[in-house]
This record gives sequence, C-alpha cells and structure tokens, in this order.
Amino acid sequence: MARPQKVDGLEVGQDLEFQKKEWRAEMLGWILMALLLLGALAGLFGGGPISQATAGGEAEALTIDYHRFTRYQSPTQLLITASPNAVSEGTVRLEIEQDYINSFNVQNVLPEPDSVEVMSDTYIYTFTVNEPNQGMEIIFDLESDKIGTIAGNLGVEGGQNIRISHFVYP
Amino acid sequence: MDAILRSLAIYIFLLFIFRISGKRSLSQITTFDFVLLLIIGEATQQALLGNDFSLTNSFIVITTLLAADVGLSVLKQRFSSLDKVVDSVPLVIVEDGKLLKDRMERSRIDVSDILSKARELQGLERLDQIKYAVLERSGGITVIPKEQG
Repeated sequence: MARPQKVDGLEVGQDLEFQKKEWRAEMLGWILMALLLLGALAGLFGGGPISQATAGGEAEALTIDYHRFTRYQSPTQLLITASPNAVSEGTVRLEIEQDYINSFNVQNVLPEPDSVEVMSDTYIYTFTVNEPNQGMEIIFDLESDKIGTIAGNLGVEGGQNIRISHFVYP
Repeated sequence: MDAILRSLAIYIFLLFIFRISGKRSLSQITTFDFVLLLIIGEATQQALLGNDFSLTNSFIVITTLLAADVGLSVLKQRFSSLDKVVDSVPLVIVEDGKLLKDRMERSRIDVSDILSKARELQGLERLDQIKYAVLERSGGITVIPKEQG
C-alpha cells in the first residue's frame, strides 16, 4: 500500500480531491433518496394514486379496479363491478385466465362463487345474483406469488375480455 | 438461491444508504440513534428471511452476509480506490488551532463537537491548544494537542 498523504507533520491519508467527489456523490445520494420517497408517496411502488387503475366499461359489462404496482407476497385487491348486462339467468359467469390467477395466492373471494369450472386455459367463476337489474360487486383478495409482470384476461363468459397487468416489485 | 439474493440485496442497499447519509450520521450513538438502529433491524428482518423461518435459511443468510463482508474487505485490501469508496478518507478539520470552516460545514461538524472531543480525549481547554483535529473514516473526531512550549 502507498504511504499515506502527509499534512505537514501529520501522517494522515487525507485525499481532498476524493473528499470533494464524495461530497458531490453524497448530495446526489440525497436527491436520490428524496426522489425515492416522493415516488413511494405517489404510489410508484404500490399503494398510491398512480398505482390505482381502472379497466373495462360498458362494452365489457365489467369494470375492474386494480393496482398497477404491487409487491411480492403482499396483499392486493381486484374490485370487479358487474353491470346488469353481465347477468344471464340470474348468474354472473366470470372467466379468468388460469396463468393470470395462478400467479397469485387467492386469499379470499367475496361473495363466494357457487362453482369454479376448469376450462382449457381459463377458470369460470359462477356467482348468483339476487337483484339482476343492479348487477353486483365481486372482490378478489390476492397475494402475488411471482415477481415481475403479471398480466391476463378477464371477462364475462362469451363477452369481450379485459386485459389487466400488474408489475410486482420484489 | 432466494435467500442469498435477498441477503446480498440488503447488504448492498444498507452499504449504499449508510454511506450517502454521511460519516457522522451514526458515529456517536445517542439513545435515539440506538432506537433507530433497532427499528432498522426490525424492518430488515422480514425481507431478509421472507416466509422461511427455518434454521437452514438463517444459516444461509448469515453465511452470505459474512461472506460478503469478508469478500469486500479482501477487495478493499487489494484495491485502495474501492477502499476509499466504501470507507471514505480521513479529513483534517483543524490545522494549528485554525478551524477549516468550509470542510467542517460540509461534514456537518461544529466547534462544540471538536471542543468536546478535545476535552474528552486530551483534557484540553481551548481551541488554540489544538494542533490538529481529524475527522476519521469511522466518523469519530481525533485531536492532537500542541506541544507545551
């Protein structure tokens, strides 16, 4: 190792040039910290205004409120609002892509479906509706089981699909 | 594999965040700093272990953290530039009883910090009895008194 830089009689490894760089880097680091916190407040890492998203509409007879950003193994929710157009013969038959829903741990579905049918690459959840002209709200409590992008199609059986996509932080 | 990646991510993140918060941030542990450290430990713990509370997992995590630490120290020994990046450099803040204000300000040190160290370490009474004061890499201040004439 090189002999430390001297200051008069003091043998100390002072390095002013490096020190100046360090101070600059420190400032940059503080700016990064502030940006990270602002991003977190806004919901860039889940659970804030820019994470909230809504998909679907009249054409699909469903609207889905979901979180664009979520974190690994932390809870997230799908709020599915079925319009009266989604009801046929007193039931709502909700079709969800298997790859999509299998990327989550499904903690709870409210109301409980009457049945879940396994199709070739989708599941069909059937819910009974008591007031067919009011539609219904269905809540899926999920916990992401995969890191990265999770995307999939949801829709009323035989109707148009809605594609939603989440980004899961590690 | 998961546990190793987690531990390394945490190790690097902690290294980075403590480095940019400056040498002085936790160098003198006040009661509050101590509480802060405990909370940071608490926040780290879950992410470090995940849902796996087995002995094996904790062995892997501990081994990874220590291996990272040993590895880093070997690299620091070999590359002095890395040593500076990770551990910083000492800085003279008082020279012949004269305060180097600019450096003190940027390192967030004031005169009372230096005087308190001078009393504690050397039993000095006044600033003009100090020959050098150095902000060490660890964040502590060391004081060298003037020789009595």
